[in-house]
Amino acid sequence: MEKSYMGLILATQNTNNIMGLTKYRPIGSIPFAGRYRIIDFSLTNLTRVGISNVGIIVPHNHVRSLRDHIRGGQFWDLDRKNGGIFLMHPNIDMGLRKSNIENFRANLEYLHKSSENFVVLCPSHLVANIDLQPIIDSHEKSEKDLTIVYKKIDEDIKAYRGSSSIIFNKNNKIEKFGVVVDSEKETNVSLEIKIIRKDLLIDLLMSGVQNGLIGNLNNFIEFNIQKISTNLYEFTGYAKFIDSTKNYFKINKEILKKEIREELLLGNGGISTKINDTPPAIYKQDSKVSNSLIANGCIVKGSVKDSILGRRVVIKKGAIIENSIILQSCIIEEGVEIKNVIIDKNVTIKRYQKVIGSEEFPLIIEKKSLLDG
Amino acid sequence: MRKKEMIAMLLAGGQGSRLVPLTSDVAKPAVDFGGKYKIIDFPLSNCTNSGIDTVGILTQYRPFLLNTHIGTGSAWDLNSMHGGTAILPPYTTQEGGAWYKGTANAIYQNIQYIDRYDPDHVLILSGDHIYKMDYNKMLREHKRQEADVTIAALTVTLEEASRFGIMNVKDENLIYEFEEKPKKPKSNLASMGIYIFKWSELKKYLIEDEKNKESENDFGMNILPKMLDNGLKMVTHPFKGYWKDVGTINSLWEANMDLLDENNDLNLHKDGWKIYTSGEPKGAAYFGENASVENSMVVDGCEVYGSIKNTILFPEVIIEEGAIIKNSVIFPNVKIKKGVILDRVIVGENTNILSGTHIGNNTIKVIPQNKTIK
Repeated sequence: MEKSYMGLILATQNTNNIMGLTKYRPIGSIPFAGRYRIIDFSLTNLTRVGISNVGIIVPHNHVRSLRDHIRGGQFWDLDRKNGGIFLMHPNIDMGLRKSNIENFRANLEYLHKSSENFVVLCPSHLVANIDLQPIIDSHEKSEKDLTIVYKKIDEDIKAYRGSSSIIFNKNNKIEKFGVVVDSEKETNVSLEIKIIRKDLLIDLLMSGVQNGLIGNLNNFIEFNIQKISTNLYEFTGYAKFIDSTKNYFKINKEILKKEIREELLLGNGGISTKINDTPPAIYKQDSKVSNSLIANGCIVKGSVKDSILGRRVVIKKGAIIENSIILQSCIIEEGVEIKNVIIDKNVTIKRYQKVIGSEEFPLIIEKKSLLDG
Repeated sequence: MRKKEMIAMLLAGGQGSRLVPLTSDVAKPAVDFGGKYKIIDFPLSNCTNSGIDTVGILTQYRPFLLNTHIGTGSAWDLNSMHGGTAILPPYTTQEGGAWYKGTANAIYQNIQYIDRYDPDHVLILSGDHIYKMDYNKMLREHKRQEADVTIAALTVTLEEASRFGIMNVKDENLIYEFEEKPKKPKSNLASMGIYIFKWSELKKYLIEDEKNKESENDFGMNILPKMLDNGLKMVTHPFKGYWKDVGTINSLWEANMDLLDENNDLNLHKDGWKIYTSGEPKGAAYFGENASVENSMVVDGCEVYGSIKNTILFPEVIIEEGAIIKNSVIFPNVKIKKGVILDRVIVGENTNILSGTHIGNNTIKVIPQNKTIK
């Protein structure tokens, strides 16, 4: 039988370590690199290989921001008559339990109805520009029911702290899954990208719910790993999770490096995102910019160094921005000094204020609601 | 089919012969402008912002890029179920086919398209000008005056007047005389080439004009003077604000430079009247350690390592370290290598400018698209 693929993005990640930025939104819709939302990576990875049916399992709250970003899916060519984009909400009767298996159970009909026979699972908080075609090819060649994508890590293990790791046995087969801890020298991190037979996934869900299992869908497949014939695929490119404020800050800053920027944002034909029709940025007489990413709509009269500015940020005369991430529509007034700070949307920093964080602990200034005075 | 009060017909077949070489491959309305736009984005955005949801786009000269740019019209929210954009090139019938002979003939050949919507009024636009204008306001005025024709009018200097259709008016903006490009203009009230016609009247005159073998089938030369002669009610709609005909290299360069003036009337950064365009999104612009940028416009997808001043960059332009660009307009996907010096230059799309190139004097120079310049 011809194999066909649908996508499923899990957007229900734990937000405990990235509180400030997820107060009003799921991780997937946190702005990234001045222009994107994190979920753009998974959406683009999936649709680039021709997948035209994508479900997104959303958390029980703050979905508005994600929905506003994704719209009808047109920016990823997901405004299809057949397939397209489906946002799967937790069933209201399930209460506020954070189980996405429960969510699935309630949305099983969508899976049943979809004509594809394989599902590509992706996370919403992974920053990686991945060509899925070789992974799909490897999956088909293996003739297994499940393919798991992982990355071998032997430096900066801290950046993957708490992620799920793959523990191999002597025969290089999966023995079990663990959790990455700082003390390891080398580990294999699961990138939470999996290809699985659709009917098997449905079976796992049905029996899981029947047996009272609650948890993250990934953990649940992992729990049953010994019963599933599994193929492994090693990805060697850039892949990091945004699961803490520190990682968010670090990964944004890494984009300033040419090789990483080119791989993440330009590789494989680039990353698609919502179009906003913002005019080009304007730089006035006394502006000074170096090693920075600056999005459309900005008006820069001050100085910006080692920083990332989102759309429509205004940097007034004499303001100095260093090593900071400023999200869209912020206004930084005259003479302000900012260093090691993440400023969420719509914030105005009044004249001559100093806002300084540290490289290790960047300061977060929370989004301002337009309703606040 | 839902009946429409007014639909727009956008004349986009212009060859733009005074913009060569920028128009050697594309029609004038598809020429790049303002860091990310094409000229036609302005009338199309004005339509959508004015609440007009049906726009026929008449193409003729080198239409491929223009057609691709317009696509389904979704970039301007004009992919409507009931209306939307339609590309209208010349076509053949059982009697044969013909190119659009003139502006009026282009509309004449598409009477069938317009009739499908049974509009009360038809707005005629051209794809040659940079401006923001509320056509709905013009329609309200047209209806209030119970006019057969309303012509958007701009005050120009008397020297410029002989390049335009000039209108002489009485009270209540009532036109009593229309002169196309007069040698001795009697007023400085110029037609902007934006007309609202009562469709029933226009249709009659188009059919009449087509029968006249002597006619040049042109709105300014034939249709409007004839209507005036026959006593139709014709009024002006005075326009105040930024308007520029970007029909020459100099005016195209000037209009781009106008955007760098903080007090320019067009003000693309002002909220409330967005200019839309189509195209893939690009990452934010990157500035290198030693970049220098002064009084310039830089759009998503650019990389600047060198120095730019009074300059407008389009997407995917790369300015390498040590390059110095002043007073210039750099179209999409141009790569400027180390040490290049440019002053008062417009560089066409996809051109590479190699190290050692120095170009610049007092006249505006155009470097054509798709070239490698040594």
